[in-house]
Amino acid sequence: MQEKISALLDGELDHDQAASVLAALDQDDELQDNWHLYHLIGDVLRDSNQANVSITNKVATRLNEEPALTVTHQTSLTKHPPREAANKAWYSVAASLAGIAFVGWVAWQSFSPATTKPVGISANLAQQMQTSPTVKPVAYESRVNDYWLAHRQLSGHMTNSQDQQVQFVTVQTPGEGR
Amino acid sequence: MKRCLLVFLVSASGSWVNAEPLSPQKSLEVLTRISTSVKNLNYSGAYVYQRGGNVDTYQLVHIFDDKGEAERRESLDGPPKVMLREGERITCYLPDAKYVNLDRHSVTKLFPSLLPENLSDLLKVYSINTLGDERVAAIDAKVMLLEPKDGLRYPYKLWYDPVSGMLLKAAQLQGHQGQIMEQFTFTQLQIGGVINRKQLQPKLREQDFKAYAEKQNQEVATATEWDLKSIPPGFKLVKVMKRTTENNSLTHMMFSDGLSTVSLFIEPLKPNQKPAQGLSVKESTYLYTKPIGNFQLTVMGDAPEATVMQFANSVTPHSAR
Repeated sequence: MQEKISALLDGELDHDQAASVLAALDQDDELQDNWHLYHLIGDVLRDSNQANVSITNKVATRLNEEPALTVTHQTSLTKHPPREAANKAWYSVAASLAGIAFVGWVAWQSFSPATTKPVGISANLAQQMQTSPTVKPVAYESRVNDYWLAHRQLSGHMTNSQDQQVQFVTVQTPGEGR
Repeated sequence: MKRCLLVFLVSASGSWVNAEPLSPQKSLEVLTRISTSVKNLNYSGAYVYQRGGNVDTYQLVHIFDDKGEAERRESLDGPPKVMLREGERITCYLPDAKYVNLDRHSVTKLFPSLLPENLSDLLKVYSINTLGDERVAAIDAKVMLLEPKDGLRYPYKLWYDPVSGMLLKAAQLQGHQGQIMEQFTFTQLQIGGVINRKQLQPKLREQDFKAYAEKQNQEVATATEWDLKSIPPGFKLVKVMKRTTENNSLTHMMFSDGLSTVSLFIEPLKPNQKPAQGLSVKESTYLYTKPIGNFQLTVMGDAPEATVMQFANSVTPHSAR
């Protein structure tokens, strides 16, 4: 089951699989703890001061409120076969530590430069849960977030705070816009 | 009163005005001294890290004994997070009563050990100016400016204790006014004295911890299929990470000039993927992305726009030779 939760976080489950994991998550306190832990590992490695601010409750509440949207959106963003994502989130230190890929992989579909919304891991999840279930290309920001983490971690910025919310502001956009 | 006014005027007129260049020989001496002191001294204190509106406070205890370097840093705000370093081994104690082990190589620079090993190379791209005296953490500090010899990196200001050689404060600057973008400052510091290794142990209950086995998934590569011609001077490749799967391969190259870091990420474009191109910025970190053939290149650097652009323009595939 832990593998399935990990897979869910990676966005590599299809609709039915995701639904069953979410259902199980809803029922099982221990699984919720695991879910919490996966996020926690990521947050702490990014050194967020808000790392353990009841993510469990937040996530559980959101799951209770809007499970269908989560599943739909998750599925719509999954453009690759299962088991691919875990391998791709390689630069997540947490992944290397715990063998758990927590950085969700989303296909990089297009560049939406004007968007400056926070695109942290938790924020991603929240966004997926809050937005409508239509396909929306948010992929570039996801990549930027992953790159940002890899860049900061490898360059020794463990002491950063709240960096899970990466906001780059567009300076210019030659060529393609949205 | 007159003196107070004078001091005010001097500080208000901008710190660079009083800059006095230091000879290359003297520059190397002072940087070497700082670099040695932060490693070889015992010290304990608290420092503040500021960047982009974030402020974090940490407590730091550092010792150097017959076993080498060891240190403990603990966050003082929010849930307690502890990082224990003994030589190359780093253990993070996480807020939820868990801990993880990290390899030293995933954390290369930690305040106050910010200076690179090779200081001569650093002085090829930076010149040192003295800026006078300032008080930091109740210590009368000497201030110096690391001024880039070109427009391809940011200036830095360092404050150090002339008595011990200890680094007290470090700031990354940007813009004509020398605006501070990022800084580390000791707010309180005790230098010297005997610190027992036992004092480094976090005051947490051992039974609360659960260990996670360290698994190194990252593949460290030595070469890539990419050529980099005419990258900005002073930058050297410090790390290459590669990950290849059936359907994707990601190359992460990291360059450093000793103080600034630039990352290059290269991934193949997916069949349905639209190539992206654009420049964006977060505080002093620039990001530029563009397609190269069937690949998407993203350059992310703690360096000026020109540097990031030059990196992006220097990348060519091997086959293009």
